[in-house]
Amino acid sequence: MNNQLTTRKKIMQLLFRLLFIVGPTVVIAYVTLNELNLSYTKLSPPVGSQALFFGLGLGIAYIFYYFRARFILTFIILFIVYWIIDRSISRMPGEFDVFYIAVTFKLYSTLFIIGWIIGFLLARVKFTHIFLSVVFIIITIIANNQLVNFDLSTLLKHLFPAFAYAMYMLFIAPPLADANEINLKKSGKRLLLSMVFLELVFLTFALVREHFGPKLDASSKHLGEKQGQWDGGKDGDKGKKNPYDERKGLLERGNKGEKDGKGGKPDEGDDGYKMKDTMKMSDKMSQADYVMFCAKLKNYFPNGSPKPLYFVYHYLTKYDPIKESFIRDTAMPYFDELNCDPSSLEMYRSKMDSTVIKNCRASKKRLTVVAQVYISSNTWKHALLAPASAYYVQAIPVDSGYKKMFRSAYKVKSYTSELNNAYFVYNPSANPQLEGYQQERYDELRTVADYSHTDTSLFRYYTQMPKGILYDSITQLAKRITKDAHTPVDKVIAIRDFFLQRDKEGKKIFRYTLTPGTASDPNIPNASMLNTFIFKTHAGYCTYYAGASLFLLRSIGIPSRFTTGFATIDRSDKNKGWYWFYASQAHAWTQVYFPGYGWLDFDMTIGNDDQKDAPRPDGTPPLPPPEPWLVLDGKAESVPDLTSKRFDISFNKIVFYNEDFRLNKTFTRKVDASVCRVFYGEKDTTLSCLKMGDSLVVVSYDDAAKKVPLPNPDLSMEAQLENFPKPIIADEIHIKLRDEDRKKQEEEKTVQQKSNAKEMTWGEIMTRFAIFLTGLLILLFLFPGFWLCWLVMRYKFSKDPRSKADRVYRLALYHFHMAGMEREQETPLQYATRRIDPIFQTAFTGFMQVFLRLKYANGELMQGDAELIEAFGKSIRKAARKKTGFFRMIWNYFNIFRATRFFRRPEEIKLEEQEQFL
Amino acid sequence: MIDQTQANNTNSGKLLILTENIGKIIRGKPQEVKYVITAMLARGHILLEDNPGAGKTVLAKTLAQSISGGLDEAPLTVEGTVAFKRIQFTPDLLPMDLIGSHIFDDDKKEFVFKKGPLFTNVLLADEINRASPKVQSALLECMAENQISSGDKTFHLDKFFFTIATQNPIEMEGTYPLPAAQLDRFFMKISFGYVTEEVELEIYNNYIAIGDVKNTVKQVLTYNDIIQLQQEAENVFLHPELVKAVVNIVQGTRRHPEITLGCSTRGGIIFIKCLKAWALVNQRNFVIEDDLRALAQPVLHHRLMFRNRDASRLALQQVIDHELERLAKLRIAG
Repeated sequence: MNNQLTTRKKIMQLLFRLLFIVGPTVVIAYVTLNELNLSYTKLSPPVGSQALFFGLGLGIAYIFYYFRARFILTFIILFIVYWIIDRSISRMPGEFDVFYIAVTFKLYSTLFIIGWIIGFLLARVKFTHIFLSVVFIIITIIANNQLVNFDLSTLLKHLFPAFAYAMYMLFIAPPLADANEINLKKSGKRLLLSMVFLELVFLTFALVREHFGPKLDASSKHLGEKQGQWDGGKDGDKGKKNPYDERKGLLERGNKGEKDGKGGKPDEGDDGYKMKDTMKMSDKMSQADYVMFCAKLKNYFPNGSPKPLYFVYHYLTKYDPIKESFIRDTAMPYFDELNCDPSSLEMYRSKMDSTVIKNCRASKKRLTVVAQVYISSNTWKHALLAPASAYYVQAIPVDSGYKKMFRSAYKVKSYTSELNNAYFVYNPSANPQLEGYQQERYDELRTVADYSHTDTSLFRYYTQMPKGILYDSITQLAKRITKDAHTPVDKVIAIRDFFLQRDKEGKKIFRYTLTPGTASDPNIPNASMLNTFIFKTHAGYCTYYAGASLFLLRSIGIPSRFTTGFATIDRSDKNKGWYWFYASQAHAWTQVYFPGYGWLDFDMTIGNDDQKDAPRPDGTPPLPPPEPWLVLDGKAESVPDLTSKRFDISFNKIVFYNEDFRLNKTFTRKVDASVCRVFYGEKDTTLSCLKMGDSLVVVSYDDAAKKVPLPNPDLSMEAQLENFPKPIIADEIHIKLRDEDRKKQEEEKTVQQKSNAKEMTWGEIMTRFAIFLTGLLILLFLFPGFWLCWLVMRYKFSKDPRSKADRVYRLALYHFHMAGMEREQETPLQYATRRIDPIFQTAFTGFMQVFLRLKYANGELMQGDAELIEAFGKSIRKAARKKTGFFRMIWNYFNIFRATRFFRRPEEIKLEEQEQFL
Repeated sequence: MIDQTQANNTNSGKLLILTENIGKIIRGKPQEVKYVITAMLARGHILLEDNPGAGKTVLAKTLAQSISGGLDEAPLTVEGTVAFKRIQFTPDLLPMDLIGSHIFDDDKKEFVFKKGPLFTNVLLADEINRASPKVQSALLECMAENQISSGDKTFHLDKFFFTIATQNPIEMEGTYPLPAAQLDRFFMKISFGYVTEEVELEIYNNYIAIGDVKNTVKQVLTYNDIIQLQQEAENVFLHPELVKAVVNIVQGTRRHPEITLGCSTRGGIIFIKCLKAWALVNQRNFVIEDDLRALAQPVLHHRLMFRNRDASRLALQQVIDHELERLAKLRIAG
């Protein structure tokens, strides 16, 4: 009679369970499937229907097994049905895509069966909800493992549903789902409690983040490997107060990072991190050390050994004699700096600068050098670094395996002279072969006797000198140095030898130092750094050498310019042609103009003998992308067909063998996307993401199709288009961000910047979590003590003797309990008479009598009651200490379980519904 | 004969002396003595159950003697004295042996009612479960209604009528278990249990003095005192929260899964009466939560039917503990 529920009740209960257990499970399954689909592109059908099938399996199984169906029997029937359908699909006639349907069926049926089994477990097996919560959390974590960029907020966003589900299933669902005793009041209370708990957890979390977040970041970064800093602009302003403290070094943030001892990654897009357009000679320069970029340079000597070139950033052609700094001048004649931000280029799109081609002065022995540059994620984004006279830049993709290391990549082509190379001062240990090449180069350049046929505007511009005593003395010095040299190249060599000369004892006169110090004469605050360097200290870093040699060259009429960029050091033979550029390789040197050969790099900076850098290892070079023969830039005209995976694209811009073409009208072609990889923005995605009207770039590689037409210069591009294979086989599809997503991304970015939510490593997350947990635990263990304080306070501050008695009583109970004298199943008075030492006992019973009288007798206060209460309240703590000992008591106060025993309510008696007995 | 030297003039003082007095003979059982007095002051009846020789009869007799002044079975004629009767129940006892019978009066030529031993103030019904149900039910009316019906006449008993029944545990041979209805009439059912080692030693040392009940016990209370005390017990203050607690306990017994038959409303009323009397016996004019704990078992246990006899005590205790825990956490009102 008691065990069996009536049918009506049973159905009610089933409904409740479907609502409160099955429903949320299906929802969380949907969320988890969504996560899985984002990370693994294998599951192609829409997530909604996947979740639907899962939910169907779950729901049907739950109903089945709720009514005590046999599991084995029903499961066998299910399996037979599954098998029959599977067989019949494979025999299906007609033009259906059998394979596709079979795959879809298998996916759906697998989901259905998983749902079925979970339904069975939920209906029959105890503790399944715990198991399920854990499984969902684990799946979410695995799915999120694929995410490329981690930070706390995204992690929370992804993990929250699973955690919320776990909370719900553990705390809220069981009472809600039990229709047997739907006690709304009780469940409501529980719900409220859980909400409050969640709220508290989140609040604590937020507080911890808000208060300790930046500090944590700073400290962990400080300890950590990366250097750099947050806010260049602010620190720059601060620095400007003292002109000698102003660090206009090439790598300003490296400087500041070390100076301030602050850490953090450079912030992209912040102007404070750009290389400076000006270079100033200052008293000190420090260098940071991390990979800025790496490059593959296709430039070799005829024997095949690499022939490195310096990577130019800017030409600084103007000079401010007062500030002693070099300034970039966009009005320089024959402007040959490619002005382009490679990060703004769309994938595979290129930019060619005709002015550079036109202004390139190299005509003899001209060489086109191709370089692929991979910009590290530590580096600023908008820079274009390339060997001298770059005229072509094309954005290329970074292989997904290297995306963490390199932010972006581009390919550059530069016109340079065959005579140009990095070996002038920097000369790897007297290589006889290299010496030979150098000699050949000098011989060739000696054919340039003077600059009589040079364009006067160029000659004048690049031989400008400021006026002044210093510059006159430099001119005199230059003339003295080069008095035996007759050709420009010999003069250059003479100046190099001037820097390399040794005194009588064989010691080098000029030396390299990063800390040249302030002008040697402290009495003259504005003493010239240049003057000091050339004539007094002979110590400085690259800017000094480059500046000094620039004026030495110009003073004797050799056109030259100040160049900033990166020194290329050929370190290893492991990866031929690959070069790694660390921040410390930032450099300045001079370029000398030779008519007919153009601008050649001449680096006068002498080696640093004092400090030999430990050779920095080269990394593994990134996988260079295959050469595409065709890139289409257009719009999707149709949604890809699921079976054939083809769609139409309309386009009027194409890149054909690295050449950009703009077509005279818009063409439409079919694209076969069956073997391609799809990217949306920067993320991997599936073809199903493609919607009609999306802007996209379709890339096809050389080896993708054998019958690829070669460029035919005789035909127009439009005519050549007719020879393209149909359909065009796509290897990569880059879908451009839709407007709403772009907006969202930008918003996210700004929000991220605001909250300083930097990308976090797992270690940091764990550290924070551990700190949070420790804090929580400490609070938890201190709680019994806090509660005692609270009770004492309450008793102390109560005025009315009645409430005072009440609070004293409560304090006594709690304190005795925590001190080790637990009240068992007895009334307080019994407890009082039985416990504590004889002297105290009388006080306790006396107090209890007064207390009980006040409590139950509607009793008025009698004379002496208040005093009695007061006296007892004072003696409580002493008595307990006497009985248990001080340390034992303290120890007990850390016992959280003892405290919970005090607060625990008496065990609920399971009340039955009353039955009519007679 | 009232001992003037000891007697305090207040009634509570007299009660204290009474318990002390009885305690001199019934050693090591102060709680049980108090229960008996409580039942008396609550205008109820008490059933003492234990194995033979535990002191049930001695207790009853001592009490009777303390309030009536002698061991003689005094007739219920003299106003202001307490009459005490003792009936030994046997299987062949008949109702009219208790109630009395109509006897033909030769002088008046009519049947006159000869009153039986029931017409008394304190009745000691020894081994009540030995008598047949017929006799037991005859006792029922007078315990409940304080009246006796015989033939066409109804006789009222004195307003102070207190039955102390004793019984051996029903497992013993030759007994008739009391019906549930009759058990419900008893305010309390207590069992004695054996005394502790020290108390037992003391009893053996003083058995001569203890045995001579007649000489040792002195009368403490008069008939009027008892009537007055009963009145006083009614006026003991019972806090509304405690009334609520009684309700909760009574309701709890009805809902507890281990209890098949819960406490009746009459049981609840009796519980309240007993609580008040108990407070008075404990020198208080208000009831406290300890009283609930002390009285719940003796007052309620015999009214309930349990699914499982072994767990019976536990089930009731669970209900009481639950309620007492609530009371312990109550704050002083106001």
